[in-house]
Amino acid sequence: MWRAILRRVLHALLVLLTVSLLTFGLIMAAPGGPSILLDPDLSPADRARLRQELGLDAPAHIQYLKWAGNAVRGDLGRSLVQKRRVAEMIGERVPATAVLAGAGLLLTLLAGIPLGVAAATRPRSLLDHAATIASGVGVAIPGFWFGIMLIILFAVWLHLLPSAGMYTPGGPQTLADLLRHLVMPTLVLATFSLPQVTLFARASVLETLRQDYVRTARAKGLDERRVLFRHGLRNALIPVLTVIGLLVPRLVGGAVITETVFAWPGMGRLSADAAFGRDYPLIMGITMVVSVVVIVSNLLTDIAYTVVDPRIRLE
Amino acid sequence: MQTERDDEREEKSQPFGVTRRGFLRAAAAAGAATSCAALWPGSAVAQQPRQGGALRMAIIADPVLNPILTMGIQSTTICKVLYSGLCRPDPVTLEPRPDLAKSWQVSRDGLTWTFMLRDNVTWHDGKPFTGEDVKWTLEERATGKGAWRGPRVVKTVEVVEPHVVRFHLTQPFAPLAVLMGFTQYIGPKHLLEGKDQAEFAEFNKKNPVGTGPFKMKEFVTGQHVTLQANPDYFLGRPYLDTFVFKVVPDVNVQVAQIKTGELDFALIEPQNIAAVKGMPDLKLDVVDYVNHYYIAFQIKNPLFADPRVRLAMIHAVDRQTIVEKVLLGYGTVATGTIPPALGWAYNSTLKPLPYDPQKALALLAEVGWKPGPGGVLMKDGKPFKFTLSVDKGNPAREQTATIAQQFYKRLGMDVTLETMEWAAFASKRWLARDYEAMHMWWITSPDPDQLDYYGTGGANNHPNYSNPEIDKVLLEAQQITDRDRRRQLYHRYQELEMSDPPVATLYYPKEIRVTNAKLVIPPVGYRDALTNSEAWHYTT
Amino acid sequence: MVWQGVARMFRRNPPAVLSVLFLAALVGMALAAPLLTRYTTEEIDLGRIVEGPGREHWLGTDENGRDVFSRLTYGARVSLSVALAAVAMSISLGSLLGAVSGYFGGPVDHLTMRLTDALLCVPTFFLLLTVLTLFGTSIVNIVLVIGLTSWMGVARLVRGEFLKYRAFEFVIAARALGAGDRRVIFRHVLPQTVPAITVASTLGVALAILTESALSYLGLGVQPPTPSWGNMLSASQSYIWNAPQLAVYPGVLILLTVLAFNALGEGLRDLLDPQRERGRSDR
Repeated sequence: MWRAILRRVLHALLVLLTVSLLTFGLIMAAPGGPSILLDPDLSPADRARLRQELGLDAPAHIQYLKWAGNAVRGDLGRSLVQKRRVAEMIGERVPATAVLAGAGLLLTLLAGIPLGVAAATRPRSLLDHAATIASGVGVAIPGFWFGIMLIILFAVWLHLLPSAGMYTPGGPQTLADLLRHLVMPTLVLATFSLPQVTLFARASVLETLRQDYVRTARAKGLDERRVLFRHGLRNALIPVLTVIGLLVPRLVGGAVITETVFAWPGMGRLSADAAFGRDYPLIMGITMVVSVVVIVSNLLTDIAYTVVDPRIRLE
Repeated sequence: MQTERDDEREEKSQPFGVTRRGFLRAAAAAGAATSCAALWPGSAVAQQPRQGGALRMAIIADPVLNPILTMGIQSTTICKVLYSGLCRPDPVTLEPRPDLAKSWQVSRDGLTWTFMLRDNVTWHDGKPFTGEDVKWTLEERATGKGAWRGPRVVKTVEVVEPHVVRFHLTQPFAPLAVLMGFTQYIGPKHLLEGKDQAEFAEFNKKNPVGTGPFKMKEFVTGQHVTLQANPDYFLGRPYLDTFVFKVVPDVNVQVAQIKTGELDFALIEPQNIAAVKGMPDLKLDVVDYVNHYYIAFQIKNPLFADPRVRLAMIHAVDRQTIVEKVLLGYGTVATGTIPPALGWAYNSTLKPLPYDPQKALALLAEVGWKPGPGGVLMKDGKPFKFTLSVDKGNPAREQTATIAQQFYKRLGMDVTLETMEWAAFASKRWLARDYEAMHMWWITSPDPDQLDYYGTGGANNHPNYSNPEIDKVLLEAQQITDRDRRRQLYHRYQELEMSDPPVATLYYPKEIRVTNAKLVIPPVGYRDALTNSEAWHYTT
Repeated sequence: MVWQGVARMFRRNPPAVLSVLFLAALVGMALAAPLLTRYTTEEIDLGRIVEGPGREHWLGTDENGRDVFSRLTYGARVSLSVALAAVAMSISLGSLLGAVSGYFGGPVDHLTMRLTDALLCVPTFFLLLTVLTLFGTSIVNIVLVIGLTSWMGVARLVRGEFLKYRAFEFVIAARALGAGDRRVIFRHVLPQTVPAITVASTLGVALAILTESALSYLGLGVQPPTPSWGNMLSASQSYIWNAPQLAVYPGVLILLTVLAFNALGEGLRDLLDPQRERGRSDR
């Protein structure tokens, strides 16, 4: 088991190296420069001086080695636009991202799994059809559109919820305030993942119910529900773990649209600012941090597999 | 709102102080009709100012609050409230008025400016403000790391007495006072000296210290910057209690927020006006500001070298239609590159060149462009073909470019529209000066000096325009401080532009703001209005 | 005979058949665009902006006075072709890499898998943003970048199939008969992967359409004045207060088209992989 984990860690490091090379290569290959060089008040001489000070004139591999050398020591450099330490800027966004991603994941799991299971145990019922159709619509709706619609409905027309942001500025940062601000962004974030989990759970449970051993248990006269929970559910949920594993990168680094529409101060918004500002150190930093999170979550999911099904070994 | 009486004032020492009462008087005198144009009956006009209240405004990203480093619109916006300059623009006429400097004098040869500073100003941390701060700030801007945004003509700054500074210039420079009130915030030497401005996150993000009417209360990154009133402000405590800048990246959400009342001030585009019409808690505020929109043609390109071609491009487009359809009437067709917001410098005797496609064709024919098969303009067997570039993200600009393209096509030109994301557009087209035609704008300081933009070899002269007579006029106007002579020269400049246009100016847009119905703010563009933020107030 | 077959399929999976009909109609409309539309997508008419539906402009006009119906039809061309091209690219690349990886194994496999893992780690949308910001938003770039970031699923799939079949008898038999590697791959193994790839493609097209619209929201999708459903939807956000219908048309089209492709994918999955029937109860 431990040897397997060690091997995984080694693989993970290799993957991280690949990610950093890929991203750096992309940045170096791109034309144009960071947006701070685009200030109209800079004279050509100033612009050249700035380029040099930022180390943008050195050859690509030198720049990479410099960056990598610092990165392994935990120094992700400084943002070109904000001039602050990248590690600090990312760190600041972690709580907001964690809250939103956590809420999204929670909603997805707490609503998706039971819905999928229920739909599977009552195939072709009204519930089943409704769930399938709603899920179909959910994955087909453009996120930003849905977000703006929600804002118009709940904030502008009904005055029920605040339209954007994480807390009311200047007000006490209470849990209630946070929850009110969290409702709409979580809904939008979960629009894509909830249907996927629902459909997946449904399919998975259906598949399990058809398995021979379930039929046997049924034939033996065991109660339907007991059959499901005792024998089927566990196996049915293994593929669901896969889906969760696939959701994590999206939730952590991919909530760009949701965060932009709702002015949520998370990493998605930061990554958009980094990309638009062509803020190279920040782009590299975010990519690496999110990759690490994904790798760790994959490892945890794999360990969870072995716990859930002793037949699966960690490879 | 530019009244003739201001023209008589000399630009020499002015012991005139801008007080809150002064602003209110001026605003009333300028006439509510031209400034705060309320569209709905029953909205607030000059009433009793109320002490207190919070103002919430939107910005699209986090600012950097260091006065030396400020870059980006959100940083400059907030710094105007946190810090002060030596001068500030008058809240109605935009002329330089005292701020940190109570008065100033220019030497006969124009090379020495002496500023008399107030002696009753303290920094937000209580330390006294002196001439050392001014000297340090300007020198740090000139030599420190980061972008140089100071007036390049300042050679040295001398602290003659603790509250008297003397600027020694390399050449006479009339706009100095205006520039010192535009983006030249003064920073605290005692806190920032010796520090790496970029690294000083403690100052930049948590505790910036300035001399402005509001001081830092809280900066929650990604969410908001909240400032609170500075009770020791040298012009008296501001009316408002807090100034909140909320981070709201999506412009449509900003509109939603002004409707729900989560914002008190928002800048909107003409098409959003319908969204806020008829709401009794809001009012619409329309002002002129110093901005001219144009289509630039790269003059180094033989296609556009002849001024007659550029004149034809102006006659070819029905600019009034653009103002009516794109701006929904919130703009004025342009005469030249100096907008009416600049008051004394604007030549109101000139009328914009008319929409006249026949004249355009005639001018082009003079240069050798005749319609060929299919109506396509040809010369020496080659068609009149070019690409019009515009940045993506602003519907009005994209519409304008599209409409202009249609008009050029009607003349028989082969025009391709190219839209690019801002950073790519800025670096590849604008700064690299690598374009054929480009739709852009210039928001300039409240001084009409445009030598940098349209003088031969100017740092911002991206069309590579060169007209020796205009160079002479602009150079003299930049150096002479006599107001009347400057006015003559700028009027002549605009006349010359009518026959040799540097760019095809399109329109002067109006700045449209939606605010809380009880909010009263100076009737100038918000960038300049913020410099007078202590006077912003709510009525009862 | 054919109709009986179709009717049977319809009873088995109504959504899938409806989707096929809808998509066929859509593609037909898109291809026939020049015949159906009376205005070009760029003809601006400033006198008639944001009109509602009428005799001359069937769905009304947009903020520039352009005919909405024309823009939607030509926009269908753009959105569909961008999505299809991107998916074609990701399928080809994914199949190739997956096949090579799964068949040869060893260091080749390891390298490819590390590359796949690396790309799966990086948040896709962020990568899209960064690349398009840095390299520009031409249609070619958009297709390339969506294609280059969505091949990983297919690669894993194909690789998996290869690993499975490598040991199967018929491959061993074919090899024993002296068939070259390439022949084995193309003749025997790849065809087995077709069902899974087909399903992945339809789902991929749906995702690509949504991605283009999300990119348009941030200003990085297909650039105006070329109409795409994504940029039409995005542009309509500014007019949501006074002309909400401008947001409805492209939004609904995107919704229906994505729904259709998804339903089609699910239907194909049922059809092509009879061992894994879903939704059927024990009858």
